[in-house]
Amino acid sequence: MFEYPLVARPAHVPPELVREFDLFNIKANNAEWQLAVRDQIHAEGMPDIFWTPCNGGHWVPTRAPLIQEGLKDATRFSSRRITPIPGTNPSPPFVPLMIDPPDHAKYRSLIMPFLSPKEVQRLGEDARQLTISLIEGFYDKGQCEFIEDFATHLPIAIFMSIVDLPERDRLPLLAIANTLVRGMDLEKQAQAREDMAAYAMALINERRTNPGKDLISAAATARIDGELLSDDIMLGMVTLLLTAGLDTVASMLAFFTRFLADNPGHRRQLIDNPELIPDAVEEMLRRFPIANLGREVIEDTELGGAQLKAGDFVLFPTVAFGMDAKHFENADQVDFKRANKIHETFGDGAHRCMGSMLARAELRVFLEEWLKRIPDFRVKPGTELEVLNMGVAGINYLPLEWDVK
Amino acid sequence: MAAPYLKWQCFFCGEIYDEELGHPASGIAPGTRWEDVPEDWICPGCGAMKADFYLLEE
Repeated sequence: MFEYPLVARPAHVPPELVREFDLFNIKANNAEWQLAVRDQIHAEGMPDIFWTPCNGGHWVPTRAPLIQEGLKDATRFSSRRITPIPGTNPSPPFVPLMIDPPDHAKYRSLIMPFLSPKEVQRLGEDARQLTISLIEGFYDKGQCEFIEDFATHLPIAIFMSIVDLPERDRLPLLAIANTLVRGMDLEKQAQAREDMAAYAMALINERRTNPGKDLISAAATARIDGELLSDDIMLGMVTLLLTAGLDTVASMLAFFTRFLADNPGHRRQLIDNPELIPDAVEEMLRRFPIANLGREVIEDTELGGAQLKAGDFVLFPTVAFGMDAKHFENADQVDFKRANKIHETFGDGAHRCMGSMLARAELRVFLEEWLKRIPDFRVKPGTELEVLNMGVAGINYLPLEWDVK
Repeated sequence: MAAPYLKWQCFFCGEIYDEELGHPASGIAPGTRWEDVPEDWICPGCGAMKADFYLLEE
């Protein structure tokens, strides 16, 4: 549990738009975090946008059109600050995530070739091999702790492939990853971030001396506006790559898996019709958004009828889009054949998630290979699932069991 | 002779726009060249912008 003292209402915020809402402390039954958030932000009488004194004080748009409007518009909403709580903004800044257009495109174009559709196909097949070997490794035990035994392995392996890391780095990276994903112990998290920065810096220096064909080598030898990239920019890029693809994918895998464990009908639908899997990935992405995207207001502006001042902070919970019943019919239901599939789970506009296609590939491969081998599984009876949420919501412990045949 | 039809792919979701097929469901007639697809057209797969599509080399 993380608590930050309430802050006073600024003069420009009208009292009728104030709600004491703490997105980082939402109690959810059976890991239904998205439902729990929905129940609060779409409750009777809630405005389309409100201001909360929690977590440093920030605005929360609650409806699909406002989420889309804000995320698409980098001229009004800057990514230079992405967390509302003072002193928690990543330093050095994540690159290009925390760089506004037009400069961000220079860095983004360095990364794009490594996440192109063609590369994703190759990485997806690597993910398939790993998925199969992980499942076969624990299948006979009839149980696993899904996060540590499976969910964090996949994104680490993908990262290792993109930046061409030796096998010996896997275990230390997994240890850091598990601490970051598990997250609410701020001290341990800070230590893990330091460990990761030290690891990343050593890697950057190595690739500057001996460049290969990987992403870090490309960035280490690239010139932008005639200059090599600084240590801070390089570090911001490598830490972003590692963290952005890590807790997000691990968390999505966990939400998908918890849902399928509890819904045999949906499992059966995918086992009988595997061609539905890409649509199922999209639908579960819509239904289980995890990212809370922060932006700082650049100049005084209006959003959803509220007057926002320069320097105000806005937290755009992507769940407010996916769970908006005014935008999606039966928004709380999972319907693999839903016609309207377009969601904001990967953000929108200039900072739309560069790894979205890779994430989709990992999720698709997971469903294909897991359901073939473990069609029936359940959350270990008696487990109380807990969802933690700072920037990204995640299930930190998910014990599963199945009957070995 | 008319230039061959080209295919464009969305960077974010992999959706392919085939000029020969167009995208009738979103109002783009078969045979519509990429340059004639309106600038405010969005990816039918994920909602990304037209600028997020790349020429697919086969």
